[in-house]
Amino acid sequence: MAKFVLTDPVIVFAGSTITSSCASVTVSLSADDVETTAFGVAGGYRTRIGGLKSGTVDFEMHQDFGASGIDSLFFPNLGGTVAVKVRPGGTAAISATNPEYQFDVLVTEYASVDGAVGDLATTSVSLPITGEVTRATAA
Amino acid sequence: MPSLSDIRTGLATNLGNITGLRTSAFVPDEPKPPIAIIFPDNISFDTAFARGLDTYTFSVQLIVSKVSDRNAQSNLDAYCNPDGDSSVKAAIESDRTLGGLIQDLRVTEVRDYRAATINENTYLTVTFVVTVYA
Repeated sequence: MAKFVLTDPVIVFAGSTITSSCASVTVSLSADDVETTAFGVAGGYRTRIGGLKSGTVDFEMHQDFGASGIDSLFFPNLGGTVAVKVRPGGTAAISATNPEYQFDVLVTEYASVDGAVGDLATTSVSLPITGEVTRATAA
Repeated sequence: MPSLSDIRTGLATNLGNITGLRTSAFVPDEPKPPIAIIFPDNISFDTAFARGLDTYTFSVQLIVSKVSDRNAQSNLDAYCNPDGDSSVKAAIESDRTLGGLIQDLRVTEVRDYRAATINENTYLTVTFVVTVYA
């Protein structure tokens, strides 16, 4: 896969595809920075090892109160754990060059209304990942 | 996704709720006032992933009687009102999905209230800006 413009990712939240309601998605993963500096380190530089990993997923969405819209997916799951899948490369089959990130999130926040007069109704969330993140390369 | 022509036609249909106002989804050769003509101004594609949403901006140009007509300005004022039988905003927003064709729309502003020369005649015109989410 070459460089590409992000227009058609697959985004699944709680079993429902929410791609066409999303304007932005960010999967951010990190590892703790654990210092191991001891006396006598070479050159006087600190040393480190990677610690526990964690992550968040951010969505910017167009709000929709329809029967299977955004509100119907987020409001009932507030406080719960939900499965999320993000395949940046699009709807082609999962492969080594079109990986899908699969994980669970804890729904810690949800703004059902977020906008000013005349604005398109939107809502944004930043949810912590709970448990392992899988980078699937085969269906 | 709806076509541009379908959206223009839908806007013209809503404007048809104003008694006595001619409407045209497309630019006529010789407009006969009072008439509302719908022009596409701008289209922003891909405001959501997977072709989920595009944002259109339309101009609806209203042409009324000649400037020399004593009633021209009062007629135009009535079309500019935010509500009432002659309100362009109220007519366009009378069906904000154009019969399910689009997601939503809003008349955001009135501008360019002025005289304009068309086919060697001077008319009063005004432009309404309409934002369409489709």
